Amino acid sequence: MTTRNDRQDSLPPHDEDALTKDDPLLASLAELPRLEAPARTSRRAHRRAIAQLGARAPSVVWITLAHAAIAIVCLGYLVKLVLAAGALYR
Amino acid sequence: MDDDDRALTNGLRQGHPSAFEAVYDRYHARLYGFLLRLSGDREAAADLFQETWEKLAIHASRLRDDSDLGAWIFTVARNASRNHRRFRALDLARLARTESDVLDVLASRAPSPETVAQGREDVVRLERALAALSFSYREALLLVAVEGMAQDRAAEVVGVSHAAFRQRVSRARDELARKLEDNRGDR
Repeated sequence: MTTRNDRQDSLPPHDEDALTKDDPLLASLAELPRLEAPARTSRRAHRRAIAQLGARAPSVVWITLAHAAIAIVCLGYLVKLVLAAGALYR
Repeated sequence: MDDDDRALTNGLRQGHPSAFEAVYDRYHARLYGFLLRLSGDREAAADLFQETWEKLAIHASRLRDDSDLGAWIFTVARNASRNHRRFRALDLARLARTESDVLDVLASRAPSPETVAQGREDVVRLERALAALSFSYREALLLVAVEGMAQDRAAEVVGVSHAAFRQRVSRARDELARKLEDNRGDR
C-alpha cells in the first residue's frame, strides 16, 4: 500500500501547494486510501497496451487521403447514376 | 519534469517495453483511483483505465522530449472520462444511480493504514462529499489534493489558466466543506 508520502515524493515540490498542505480539509483528501485497479483489470489493460506499443496511429495525411479516395469513388457512382437517369429520359 | 520521467519518455518514444513497464508501475494505481473517483463507476473506470494505457502505447512515438509524462497521462484520462460522461448522460439507468462505486470498493477491501488512521467513518463521509461535487470541482480536488499535483500542472491537465484553476480549487474546497456539513446535519 502506498502512503501519502510516497505519492508526494514522486511529484516535484511546488511552493503554491502550501495552500493545499496547510488546509486541513485538503490535507485530509491527500490521506484518502489508494484505490488500485482489480488484478484482472490491471492485467488486461497492461497486456493490451503492451500489444499496441510501437504500433503507430495512422497519420492525419493517411486519414485525409483515405477520406478523399472514398469521396472520389462515391462521386463516380453519383455521376454514373445521373448519366443513367439522363439516358432513361432521352 | 524530473530526469526519470525524461528517460522514460525517451524509452517510450522508441517503443521499449521496459520503459512502458516502468511508467505503468509508477502511475497505474494513481490513475485507477483518479478515474474511479472521477467517474464514480467501477466498470467505466476499468474501461477508461484501459483506454488511457492503450492511448499511451499508441501515441508514445509522438511524445516530445519536454512532454510532462504525468500530466499527459492524467490529461488523456481526464478527457476520456469527460467524453464518457457525455455519453452516459443518455443512459437513464445510470442516471438513476446516486451512490458512487468508490464506497463499494472501499467496503470490499481490507482497511488500508490510511483508512485506519483517518477513521473509517470520516473516510466514507469525505468520499461521499467528494462524489457529490460537480465534475469540474471534483477533478480539481482530485488532481491537486488527492494526487498532490502542482496547481500549474493540474491547470494544464484541465485546460484552463493557472489563475482560473486556483479559483476553481478554492471554490471546490468551499463546496466540499458545505457538503460535509450537510452530511453531518443529515445524520
